[in-house]
Order: sequence, then C-alpha cells, then structure tokens
Amino acid sequence: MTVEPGMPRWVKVFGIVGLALVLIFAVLHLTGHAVGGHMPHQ
Amino acid sequence: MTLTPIIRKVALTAHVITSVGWLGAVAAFLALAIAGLTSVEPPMVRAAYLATDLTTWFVIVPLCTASLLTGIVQSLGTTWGLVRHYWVVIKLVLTLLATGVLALHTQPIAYMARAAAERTLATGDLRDVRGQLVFDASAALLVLLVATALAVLKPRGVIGYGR
Repeated sequence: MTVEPGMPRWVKVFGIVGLALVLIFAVLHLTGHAVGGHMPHQ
Repeated sequence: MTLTPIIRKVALTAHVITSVGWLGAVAAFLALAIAGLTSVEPPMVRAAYLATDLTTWFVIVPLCTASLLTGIVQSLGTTWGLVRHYWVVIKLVLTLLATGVLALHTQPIAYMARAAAERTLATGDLRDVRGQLVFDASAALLVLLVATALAVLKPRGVIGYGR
C-alpha cells in the first residue's frame, strides 16, 4: 500500500459536501424555512 | 497508551455493539416518528410518541454515550490514534455532532410525549414538531450510516504526512 502525501481527495470531497450541507441548513434557518419547527409556548 | 490484546478485543466488541445498536435504535425511532406523523389512529399516535421518549432515554442516549466513550478508548489504545488518521477524526466529529444534536432534541421529543399522554392528537396537531422529529431522525440515521461506512472502509490518509 502506497501512502500519498497531502490531504487525500476523499477528505476534500467530504469537507466540501459537509460545508455545503451546513451552509444550506444555516441559510434555511436564517430565512425561516427550516425543516420542522419550534415547539409552541406552553 | 496501548491496550493488551484481550482488552483491545473487548473494547472493539463493545464499540461495535454500542455503535450498531445506536444506529438500529435511531432507525426504530424514525419508524415511530413517521408512524406518529402519518397515522390517523389516535392510539397509534399516542403509543408512537410515548415510545420515542422511552427509546431516547433508555436506548439511544446510553448507546450514544457508550459508543463515543468506547470509540475514544479504542482509538487512544491502539495504533490508530485519535488524530492520526483522517477517517478517525471525521468519524469522531460526526459522532460528537450527532451526540450534540441528540442532546438538543431531547426537548421536542419529551414535549411530544407529554402532549400525547395528556390529550388526543389530531392529524394536524403540532405538525411542525412532529415533522421535526422525522427530519432529525433521518439526518441522524444518515450521519450514523456515514460513520459506520468510514469505520468499515477505513479510507487511507494520515494527518501531517511529510512533516
């Protein structure tokens, strides 16, 4: 098994997908389009 | 710190059991949350939300905690290390993320269980919270499936190679 120097491609893809998901989630929350909802006040 | 072979096998077995158990418990939670959201039978809705609360506190939370702890012991006690391989770090981050989200969402789970115990829920009642439980469980299941795949495949890549 050879070890390649630097960050592997799968880690970069993982990071980009993860960042995109976090951004989508943050934008949806900030614009009030979050999936699900908040609990009504009791 | 390196574990002896027997302790290492015990720790690995405990980690696999708790992690796969956590995944299965979240899948069961998702089935209950979907039943609670879509069922038109009041007894089924009530039973589903009461069961989600019990499943959370007596199965998911203990397995989640045990999985996190045994995973840390396993990585620190073997040559994998905690921050030596990318897949270990990413799996740890995913587990911490899932644990944090679970801790935050015990509140709506308990809220729905209380509501189901106190009154009969009609189809449209508390739809947002009920939908949130389905979404949260789906997201948690996806994260745990990715973590499981990482643990099985162990994709290569060492942090700080060449320094």
